[in-house]
Amino acid sequence: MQVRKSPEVHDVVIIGSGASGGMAAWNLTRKGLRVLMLDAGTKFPRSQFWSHVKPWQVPEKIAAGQKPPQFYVDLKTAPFQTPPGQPFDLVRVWGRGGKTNIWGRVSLRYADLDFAGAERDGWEIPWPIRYKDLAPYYDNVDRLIGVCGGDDDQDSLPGSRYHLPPPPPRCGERLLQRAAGKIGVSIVAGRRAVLTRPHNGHAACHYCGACGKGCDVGAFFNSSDYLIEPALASGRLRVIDNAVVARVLTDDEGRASGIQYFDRFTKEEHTVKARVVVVAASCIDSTRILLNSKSRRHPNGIGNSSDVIGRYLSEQVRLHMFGFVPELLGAPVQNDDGIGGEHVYMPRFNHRDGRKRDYLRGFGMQFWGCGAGDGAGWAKEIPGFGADFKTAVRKRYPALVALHPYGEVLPYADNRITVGSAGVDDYGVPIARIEFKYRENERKMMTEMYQTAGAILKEAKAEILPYDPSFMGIPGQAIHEHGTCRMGADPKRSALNGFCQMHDVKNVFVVDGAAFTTASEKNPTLTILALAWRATDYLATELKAKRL
Amino acid sequence: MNPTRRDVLVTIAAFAAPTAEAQASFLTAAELASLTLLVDTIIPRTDTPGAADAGVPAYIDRCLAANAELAERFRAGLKALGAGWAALSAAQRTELLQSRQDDPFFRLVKGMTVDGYYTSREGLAGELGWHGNTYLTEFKGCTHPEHQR
Repeated sequence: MQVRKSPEVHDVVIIGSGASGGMAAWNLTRKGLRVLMLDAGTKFPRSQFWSHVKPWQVPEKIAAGQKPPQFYVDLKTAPFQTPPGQPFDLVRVWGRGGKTNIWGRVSLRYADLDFAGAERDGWEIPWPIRYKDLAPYYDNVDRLIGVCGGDDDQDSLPGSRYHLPPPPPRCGERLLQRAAGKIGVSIVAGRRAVLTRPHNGHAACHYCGACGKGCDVGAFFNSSDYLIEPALASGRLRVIDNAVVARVLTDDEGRASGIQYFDRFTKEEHTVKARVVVVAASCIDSTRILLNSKSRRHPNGIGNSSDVIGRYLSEQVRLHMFGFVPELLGAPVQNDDGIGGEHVYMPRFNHRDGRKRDYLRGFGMQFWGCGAGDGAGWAKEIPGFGADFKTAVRKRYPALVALHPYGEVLPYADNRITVGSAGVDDYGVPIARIEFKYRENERKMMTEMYQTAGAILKEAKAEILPYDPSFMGIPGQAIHEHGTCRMGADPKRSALNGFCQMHDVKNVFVVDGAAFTTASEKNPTLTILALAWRATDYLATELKAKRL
Repeated sequence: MNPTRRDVLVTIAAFAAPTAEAQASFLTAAELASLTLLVDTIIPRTDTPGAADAGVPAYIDRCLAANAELAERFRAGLKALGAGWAALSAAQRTELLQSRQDDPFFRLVKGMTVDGYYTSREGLAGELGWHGNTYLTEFKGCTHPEHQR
């Protein structure tokens, strides 16, 4: 089939339209650059979201032939391979805004505890930047997208002067907060990119709790409405829909010269030219593109003379414990929707004076699902049948509390993505093989995560729902992949500098989670946005100075 | 006057028209009859609708139609109930289930019944009292003075 080659040379071509790609497009067009964005899907119209479809209406609508937006790309379109017995759940959204359409919205700043962790414990390399480098960009992001939260700083969780008012906790959250306080564990106001009042022209949250189905009024940050639409309005951004990127193309000197992509549906091959390439296709897809971008100058994939690209895949390890607090058993049912997800957060504390641990790094805790939910799957674990069972469920329904600790997974060289041995996709491009395992450090950390959640529940005098303390979770399900194209000070041990620029190839920037040096225990999107903003400030300056 | 809980439930039950019966089902009529008794033993009609009232047999039937492996296991389980199942009294059926809490088939049916019932209008809004997914101008959170510490 003939390749369709576009002769125009764009200032910047961005691969991907999620948090990092959207931020790059918004910031670069603002600075006057002409940008082309390649999106693997199309826009998801808000009018078609099922935000206000009640659970019992879902089967009726499906029977009537209706469908909600198809956010998640299927495995036939986007296959990957894992070794037998080593599963990895990879969640990807192809289409405008990517996963920000349905993301969890938890917006935590990383602290120097995260950036410099490796300096203290010697495990792999520290980040090349510190909190002070990123703090102004966290401020910028908070102001731009709107993040509600507290001003209750901790050493492991910096606050923000720009937080919108936090929503008050639900009853169950309040009771857990009180119980945790009694055992010396502090639970603070959560930080979430949900608008608790109108902000920058975006509507405020109406507390329907359906964020996971996409917000019908755009009251939480999504890259499409908050970044890409304003960038399009500048007249300097063009988006090509259904453009599935295969490779970064290079010239004879090994510099990036453009992109090869395939039309998602016609499978027609295209190339476009670029002065600078910004890779923002999400951690694993970006890494696959880089590893597939082989040439004489880059036999191991573009920018990979260090052989770190594909390695150090770091997800997070997590668990879920549930209980019922006695104060709320049989209480009148309230509308507990709030801003969807928990209103409180337990910052990491295990590093503090007087605490001992037999593992590296740490964990925080989320609490989504406390109170009256739109289902009662937990009732499967309540013993019995018949009228007594029904009564037992009804009594517990308002009293549900949920604890979800998230822990850092250390970077390991052989937790990695490779291409070449796993075959090709429908476009003829080698697919990723993902090899990922938890090790001793994660198992030890999980033990303390179970103990901490259990201790809070015990102090709250909660009835604890049965759980299996040996269960480590399915890797990938936190949807926090990082580390496979990490930044660092030493070009022999890292692929990018602190501005997400490749050490080897100055006109390639990788701005998504792949750039992270470590995973931390925190949700990454706020940091992705701050890093992408900082990286593209640098990119624009360097491009204007003709240094790229 | 505000409608009582029971008034609301009666109204809701009236809306729960037997749509599923009109369509071709995956299970046979005999299998559906056994299943209906089973789900109603797990969550019976009390002062609120039971699992059969809430359309749980049709919900499970749809799940089975979409999953051949599950359907095979499920059919085997229904068959193993035997011919005497329908002849048991409600109390005897409950007793049978209680005595076999860990039976994989009963756990499976209980799980699917829980999923179907507590996402139905009758189970979720009626029985549990969920009234979320609406439009609010303010979220008050916990207002109980005794929880404010």
